[in-house]
Amino acid sequence: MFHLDRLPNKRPDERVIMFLRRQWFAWAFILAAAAFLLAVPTLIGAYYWDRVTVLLSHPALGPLVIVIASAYVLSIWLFSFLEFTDFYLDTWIITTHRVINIEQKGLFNRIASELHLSAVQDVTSDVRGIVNTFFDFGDVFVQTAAEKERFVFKGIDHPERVKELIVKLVEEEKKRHAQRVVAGVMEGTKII
Amino acid sequence: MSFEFLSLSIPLWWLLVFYGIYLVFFFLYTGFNLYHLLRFGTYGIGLYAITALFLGGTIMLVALSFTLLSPFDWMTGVSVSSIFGDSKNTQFLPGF
Repeated sequence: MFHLDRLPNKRPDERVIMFLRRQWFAWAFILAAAAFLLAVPTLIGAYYWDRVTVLLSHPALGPLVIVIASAYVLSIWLFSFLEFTDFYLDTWIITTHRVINIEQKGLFNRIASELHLSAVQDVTSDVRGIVNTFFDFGDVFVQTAAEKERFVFKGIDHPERVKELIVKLVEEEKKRHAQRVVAGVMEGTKII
Repeated sequence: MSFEFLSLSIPLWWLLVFYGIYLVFFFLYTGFNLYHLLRFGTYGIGLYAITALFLGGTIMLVALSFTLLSPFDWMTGVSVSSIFGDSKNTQFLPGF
C-alpha cells in the first residue's frame, strides 16, 4: 500500500501539497458503459419475457442461457473494475520539492517517475471543449529543461489552479535552491 | 449403420466444464485486480471501501450464478433434436 506520509526518498522538510487523480468523469464513463451493457439484454429479456420463460424451462437451453448470462454479467463486473483500477491507480503527487507521476497502464504496466521542481521550466494548462470548460477539468503539462521530459496530468480537476500552484512551488523551490547554493559556497569559503 | 446428428446426446455437465474454465480466468483476474489495488493503492478509507465493494460484489454475483444453476439436473443427456427440433418439429429454438 502506498502511504502519502511515507514517500520514497522523502526529504525531512518535504510536505505533500496536492494529491491528484483524473476527474470523476473518467469513472462515470466506465459506470455508464457497464450500466448500458447490462441494461440492453435486460430490457430485451423483459420485453420478450414470455418467450424467455419458455427458453429457461427447456432442459438444455435453460442452463445454457444461465451460464452465458452469468459469464456475461461477471465479465462486465470484472472489466469495469479493471478499468476502474486503471483509473484509480493513475495518480499525481505534488510536494514542496517534486512532482511524482504514477501511471498504471493495464494490469501489468506501471510507470512511476518524479520531477524535481527546480528543473521545471514551463507549466501549461489545457481545457478544451464545452464539457471540460463547464466542469472545469483538463490537462496540465509540466516541462523540464530536457525536452524529452514532460509530465502530463490527464483530465484533472481545476487545471488552471493546479498550474498556478505548481508555478508558485517552482518559484519557491528555485529560491530555496539558490539559497542552498549560496550557503554551500559560503561554507566552502569558510573551510578554505 | 447410419449416423444421425439429431440423435446425438450430449451430457449437460459439459456446460459446467466450460463455465469452470471461464471461472478460473475470472478468479485469476479478480486476484490480479485485488493485488494491484492493495499493493499500489493509496492508503485510506476509500481504498478499503473500493476493495470491499469489489470483493463483496464478486462474491454476491458468483453466489447468485451458482444459485441459478443449482436446480438443473446436470447428469442428464440432452439430444441435439430437443434443441434444434426433429423431422416432425422444425422449430429452431423453443420459445422463439
